Amino acid sequence: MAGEMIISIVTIILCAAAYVNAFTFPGGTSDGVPGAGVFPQALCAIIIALNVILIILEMMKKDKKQRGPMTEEHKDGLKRMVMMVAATAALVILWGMVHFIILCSLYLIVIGLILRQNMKTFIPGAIVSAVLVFFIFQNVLNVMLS
Amino acid sequence: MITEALMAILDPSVLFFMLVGVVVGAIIGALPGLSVVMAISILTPITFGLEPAQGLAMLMGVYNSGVWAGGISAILVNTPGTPASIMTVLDGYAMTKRGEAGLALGINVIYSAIGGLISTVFLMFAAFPIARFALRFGPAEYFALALFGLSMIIGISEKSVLKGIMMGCLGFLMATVGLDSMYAYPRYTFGVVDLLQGISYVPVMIGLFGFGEVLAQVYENKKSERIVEHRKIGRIIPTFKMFKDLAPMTTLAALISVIIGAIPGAGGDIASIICWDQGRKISKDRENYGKGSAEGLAVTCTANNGIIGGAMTTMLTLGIPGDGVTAVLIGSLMMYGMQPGPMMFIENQSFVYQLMIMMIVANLMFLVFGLLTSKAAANILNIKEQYVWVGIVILSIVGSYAINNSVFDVIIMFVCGVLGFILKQFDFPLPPIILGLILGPMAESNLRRALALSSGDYLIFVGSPISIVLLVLTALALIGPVLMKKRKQQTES
Repeated sequence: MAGEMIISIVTIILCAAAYVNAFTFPGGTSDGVPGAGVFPQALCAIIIALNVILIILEMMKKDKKQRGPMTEEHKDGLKRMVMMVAATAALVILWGMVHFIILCSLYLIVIGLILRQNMKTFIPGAIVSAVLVFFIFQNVLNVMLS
Repeated sequence: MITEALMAILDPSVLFFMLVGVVVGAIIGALPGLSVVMAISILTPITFGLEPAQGLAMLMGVYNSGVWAGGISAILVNTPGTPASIMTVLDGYAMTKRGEAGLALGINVIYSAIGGLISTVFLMFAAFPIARFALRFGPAEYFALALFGLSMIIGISEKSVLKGIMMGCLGFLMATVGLDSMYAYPRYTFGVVDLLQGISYVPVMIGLFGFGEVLAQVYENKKSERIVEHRKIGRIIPTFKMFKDLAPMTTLAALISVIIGAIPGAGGDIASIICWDQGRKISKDRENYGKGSAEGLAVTCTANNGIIGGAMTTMLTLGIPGDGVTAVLIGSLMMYGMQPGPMMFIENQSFVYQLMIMMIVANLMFLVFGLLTSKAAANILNIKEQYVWVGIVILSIVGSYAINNSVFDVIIMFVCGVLGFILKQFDFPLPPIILGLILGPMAESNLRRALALSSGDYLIFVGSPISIVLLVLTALALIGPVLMKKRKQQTES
């Protein structure tokens, strides 16, 4: 199944759920002022309709764009991208549990490993960058990172 | 009076503090997630111990240069530094990819300064009429303005208008998350307290265009030699012919943005969206808008800074803050014993002139500073791309956190980054999501407010000349492309 169709189907399911959920929102007033659910429901209906059209158009397409088999380069890129997403997710989860300088240094080192950098220069750079980011944001910009 | 004000501004200490403001504004503006409001808020306590002229000079420097600098990261790394530079991404980054990063940066700084200067001139000569016009905007007019802005989804839909409209609606739907503006009822919050204040468009923007772009580049697994073209800097200052060609559209953008800037709540983001779309509709170069058009870029840059004069007009003449920056500036003026409003032009006439001259000097100062540092800024393209990716990722994370000191914004940025990557792979245009997020709440809340005021009578939307004009323009914007396409087909056949 084409990626566009999967995206459309997922969007339809989510919008249908949002549409139903909007029934719990307060209704409009008797003099015609729309309630809290009118806009979300209208938007969900439009999105569902558009996605149905997109699916039909995709199915009716005669010259379907076939994605060729993944090259080794793309497979490698996909692997690195997934690892990067996982590393970022771990950073978000651990935020607040570990001190920012340690967390950020570790994150940057992991990213350096994923991007296959020369770790001899990358590790000191990562630690210095983490300290600098912490100092600038925490002390100069008053962004409480710790 | 003007000579007296000029002499006060030309004091070396005032110029020094303004320069400090310009540099700080440029750095903070260029960093994704860090806003001009934040820069001004940070510097305001420092100005407590300074003379009024010195303190306000610093803040004016930050305000003017911060808005301009938001375009630098938009042009170089596809991540808008400030919300006002959302449209700069479209043409600016395309120019960088074409090897014209220098010219894009040059256009950004020159036309931002031009926009700022034109709007200041308007502030000097037409402050009261502009402010009076801006005050005529009620809920019906705001709704019509939002609708007019939303009509440009078609223009930024890239390959598929259907997908573009769908993305715009999705952004609009995301904007409905949080407390309802009329009943304060929590919508789609699922008990998550952080969702009560809604989804801010800044982390969404950083995620879609910053983190998402890095993921796409890592996935593409580009080799350095393949993107060597991107690393060219090229010329910085446009040619005389280019200046001549860009003059009509940028002047129009400056005029539109002054008016939009004067309307409370409508900032640089809305001005740049509307001006870019108007340019795309009436320009001879409309085919290239969004594909690296110098005119498209110049128009948005003019609009970004063009709103400052309008926002200052409403603030100084009526004492109404049009946005977060002017709200903080009002506080600063009050701290110095001045009350913005009509009386300010009588009681502190000399200082009002000083402020106006400060805006002119600040624009000239960041123009010189920007031109001198453009080459250095563009050198970011010569840094090993993996280092740039790491820099963007870490700034995306910390910048998102900095908005509200909240990890929740980082989560939103992260989710939007992954979502942006997936959508980009299947040619779903991303800018309409931001458009829906920015204009959606404005459209919904004002439609409902207008209907509440008129007891449900829809005729309120055609009850004033402003809303009629805006609705007619919206209709033309929607029907125009269809009619033009039909006419083109008829001519061809």
